Amino acid sequence: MTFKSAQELREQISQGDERGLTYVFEQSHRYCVRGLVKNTGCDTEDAEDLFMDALLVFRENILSGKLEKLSNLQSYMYGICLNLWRSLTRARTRWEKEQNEVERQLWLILGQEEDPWGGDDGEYVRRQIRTVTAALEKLGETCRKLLTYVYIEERPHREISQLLGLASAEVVKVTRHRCFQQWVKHIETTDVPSNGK
Amino acid sequence: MENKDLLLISDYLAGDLSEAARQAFEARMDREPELVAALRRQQAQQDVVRAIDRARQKEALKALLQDRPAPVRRLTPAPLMRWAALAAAAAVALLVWIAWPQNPALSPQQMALGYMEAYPMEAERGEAPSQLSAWDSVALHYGQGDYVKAMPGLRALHQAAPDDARYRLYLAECLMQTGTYAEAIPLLEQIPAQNLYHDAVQWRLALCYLLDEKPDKAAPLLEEIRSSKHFRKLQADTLLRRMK
Repeated sequence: MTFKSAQELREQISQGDERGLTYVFEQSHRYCVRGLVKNTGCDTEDAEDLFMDALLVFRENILSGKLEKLSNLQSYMYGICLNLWRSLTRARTRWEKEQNEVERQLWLILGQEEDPWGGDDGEYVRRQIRTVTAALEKLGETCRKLLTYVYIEERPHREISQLLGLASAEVVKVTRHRCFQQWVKHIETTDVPSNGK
Repeated sequence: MENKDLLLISDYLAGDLSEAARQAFEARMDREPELVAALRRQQAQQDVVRAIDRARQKEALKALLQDRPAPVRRLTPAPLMRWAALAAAAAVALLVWIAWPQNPALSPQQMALGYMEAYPMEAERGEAPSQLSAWDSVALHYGQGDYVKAMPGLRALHQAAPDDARYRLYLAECLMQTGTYAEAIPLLEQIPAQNLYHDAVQWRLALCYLLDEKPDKAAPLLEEIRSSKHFRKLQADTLLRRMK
């Protein structure tokens, strides 16, 4: 298999070409899983799961341009794996074991913050998940995609205009403003029961 | 919270403020705790959206990689056995490739149909239809892919404001999506070239000409797209090569 640069990987991943992430998987999977099992004491199943989470972080970093140069893919991926393992351990100590995949991902994100959400308890965090999930369902497909491209994947406006077939980066900005206003409105008007029932 | 502050937060989080505007925004945060609270709320919601998105991506990733090699705990076959298996698989693949009947090439019209993607609705609403304005109602049906229901509203809007390029484009799109290419063509032709929607109009006009069996009119437009920075230049090139 030939070596791929960060730029080449970015091009493939941003266009949804499966070969990009498949390459990262093939190059670093064995190294990271073995390293996690050996150095953190987690079992193979947890290590496999953490490696998949690390691939998602890698995807976000390369799409947003945070990762511009890649000298050693295995070391880079292993570094992400270790950070995620620490985050998950910290979050589980605080909020107990996650109940589903969305919670797991949120634990991984919040576990990296010094004072996540100002010391809120697990029930508050779970209520936020329910509110945001309900608000996202009210948002149209284009807005949902656009907000994800802008705020989560942090792609450039020019690229987003091409992905969504919008006329220009300026149209992306105008549409983003409209979508953001709708988003805030949906969040304000969404009321979920505190026990989730 | 005022609307302009909301949009300012949106731009700040998108990293879309100039250096001066960003500094001014951060200076305001020192004085206005309600602005900080609103920003924190948005960041927290963004964390949750990111978690939801990652959970979705992870499912897709697992499906993609499920047939990939070997979790580490699985036993690795001996190298000789692995090479023998690879050689056998390659031989089978070669035989299948040679024996398989080749698909007949698609016509340019079939390819154009494959390239037809509805122009995205620039803002979508989630309210009940009874509370909507004429445009919102059109946007709702259009966003749901119900072009037949969107069309009467668009026709009325177009009649009331015949120079509005947005109404023209969306009406033409509905006509295209329902297979009425001949009616979509004059609508697209009359949108001025300097318009914001120029690229989208140019591409759709080329597809309409092709699908309405006017390849001589489609070709120059496709040439223009191919030689520009248009985001459909690769597809235009493929269509032109297939037309020859």
